[in-house]
Amino acid sequence: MKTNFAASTLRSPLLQGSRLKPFGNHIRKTVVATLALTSLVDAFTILVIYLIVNSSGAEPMDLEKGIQLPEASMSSELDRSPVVIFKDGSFRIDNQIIANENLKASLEQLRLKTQKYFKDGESSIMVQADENVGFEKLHPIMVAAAYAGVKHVKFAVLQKD
Amino acid sequence: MMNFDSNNKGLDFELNLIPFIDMLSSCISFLLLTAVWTYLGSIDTTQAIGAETAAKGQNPPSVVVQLDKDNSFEFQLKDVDTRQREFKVSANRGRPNWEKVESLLQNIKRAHPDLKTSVVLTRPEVTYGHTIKLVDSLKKADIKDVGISPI
Repeated sequence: MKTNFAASTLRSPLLQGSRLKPFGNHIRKTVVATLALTSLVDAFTILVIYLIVNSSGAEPMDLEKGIQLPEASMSSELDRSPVVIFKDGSFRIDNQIIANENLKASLEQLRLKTQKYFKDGESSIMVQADENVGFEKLHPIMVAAAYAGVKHVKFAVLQKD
Repeated sequence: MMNFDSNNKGLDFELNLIPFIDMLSSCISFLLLTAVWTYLGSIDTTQAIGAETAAKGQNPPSVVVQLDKDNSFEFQLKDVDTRQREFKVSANRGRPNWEKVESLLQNIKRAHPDLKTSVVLTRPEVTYGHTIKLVDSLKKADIKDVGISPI
């Protein structure tokens, strides 16, 4: 299907002045600009299908603002592990700041609440922290996880190609 | 014989494509705006709980990697039948020499294919990013079972 977007009659001054075209002013040349919309619609449809297929739904974890995660190429897919965020010098679970001395109790509660969702009852946590913090700052969560019986400590990373 | 030449133009209908284009443009804009451009993943580490490792008896072959505050690395092979058990990779202009670390790990893995366990020791001054990069390098060398030792 073709749609005329613009139809106009143009008179070329060269044609008017040409001796080879003795009819001069009597010749009218119509230039019609057409735009093939069908191919445009086809391209748009393909683009929409591609975008829908490649949108894998929501990520199972929100990235905390102000945290630059480290990059890793051998990362695994995210799962539904409870997220522990280290930001501004303190640990947060469910947007609540947890004091270091209460980390073990909080992780124990989390483990009991979530271990049924993991195979063999092994629980895990996901740590989000800025790549530039010293690893000593994350030491309390590692120790608390070990004492609370959390078998797997996972670290959130940006996937690198 | 039927004549298709006359009076059939009235049956053709024009499909107005402009609303289709509007709708598809809106869909494309929405999908582009809501698309996820950063892909998150996770680096998994396992840690021993209580007396778990002692109860299992014989230790598997492992490599202990220590990342020092001057960004140098020390590798120590344990429970591996070999003469040379210790390796060191110095820093390159104050930065960790990741290329050398990765090639060394590949060589170690080639020499000891049954090596699948590693423990990472880091100094307090070492950044979290460098620790994760070291774990990533170990996993690249097919050493899947990586643990991070508390400081």
